[in-house]
Amino acid sequence: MKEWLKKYRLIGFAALISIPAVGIYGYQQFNRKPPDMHGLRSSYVIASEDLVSQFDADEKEASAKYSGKVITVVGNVGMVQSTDSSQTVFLNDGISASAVICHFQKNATDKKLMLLEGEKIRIKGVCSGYLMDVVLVRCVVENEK
Amino acid sequence: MKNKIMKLFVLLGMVVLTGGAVFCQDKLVSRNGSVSFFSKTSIENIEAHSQTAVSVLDKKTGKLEFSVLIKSFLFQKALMQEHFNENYLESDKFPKSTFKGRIDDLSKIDFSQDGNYTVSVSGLLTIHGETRPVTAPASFTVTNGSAMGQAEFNIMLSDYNISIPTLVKDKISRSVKISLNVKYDDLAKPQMN
Repeated sequence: MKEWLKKYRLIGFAALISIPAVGIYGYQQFNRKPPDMHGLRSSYVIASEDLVSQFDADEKEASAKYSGKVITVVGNVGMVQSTDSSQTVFLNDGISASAVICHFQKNATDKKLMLLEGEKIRIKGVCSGYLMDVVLVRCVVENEK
Repeated sequence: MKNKIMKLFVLLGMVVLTGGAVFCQDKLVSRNGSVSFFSKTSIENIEAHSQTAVSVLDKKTGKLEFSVLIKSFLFQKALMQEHFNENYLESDKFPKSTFKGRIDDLSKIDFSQDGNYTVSVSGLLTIHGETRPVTAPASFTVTNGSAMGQAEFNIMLSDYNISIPTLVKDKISRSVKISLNVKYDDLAKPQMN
């Protein structure tokens, strides 16, 4: 009888600890926000023209390699477009038809990015793939190391 | 078809670079169009936004094409974004969603006259590898030769073979609202601001 009681007391105690722990973990996972891009490490650091040429040469292979990954692109500012909630920076070499389009959300930039055409810049973002250009989202400016 | 579209884009891009604007007077293009979708249920509302859609509008023929990367949609919650890409839209298998169609009543729009024009757009929408015809009202606002297009319409997820797991069936609506907001620039005049 006592052994029976001991066994179920132990199970009850384990359940008392584990069920709320699982619940808390599940709640945290469900409400987890995307990580801060500044703290993420880039899988690749690549020049914008190299990235574009890889997608131009073999979009499927380049997508498999870069799509969904955090990458840092180094290039020259071609154009900047702004809306109320975001800014888009085009990195291109001035020769190819395609660019690397870097999309910045409003909360990633406390103030409007002040960039000059032709300025060299390092941008970290998540590669979404390729349409007319290579597309990066959730971008942040990365300082030179 | 994909190769033809890519060649069109490259051709248009090359013409811009060489300053051959004469050939591009009929084309308006956007490379950062906004696409949102919204699912409303009594338990939870889910929405996601992309601001990287590409669209080309032919002012002469009314031909309208649109393309957006599935992985460019951003959610407030990371887990939702992961499930959206891995389970629902399978973005590794189907990386893009496209629309190919036209403005049905193009004659209603005078691109040389600033104003707001309401038209109908119809065409083929491809999501998750499935293609369906859609028709929706749209409005175009013309300002100094540029145009802003807006449209809203609903789709049924089942039409595009997007299945909702039983566990979350009450959290995701069967019908989802899609909103488009696209600022077109004259291809001959890239905008910088």
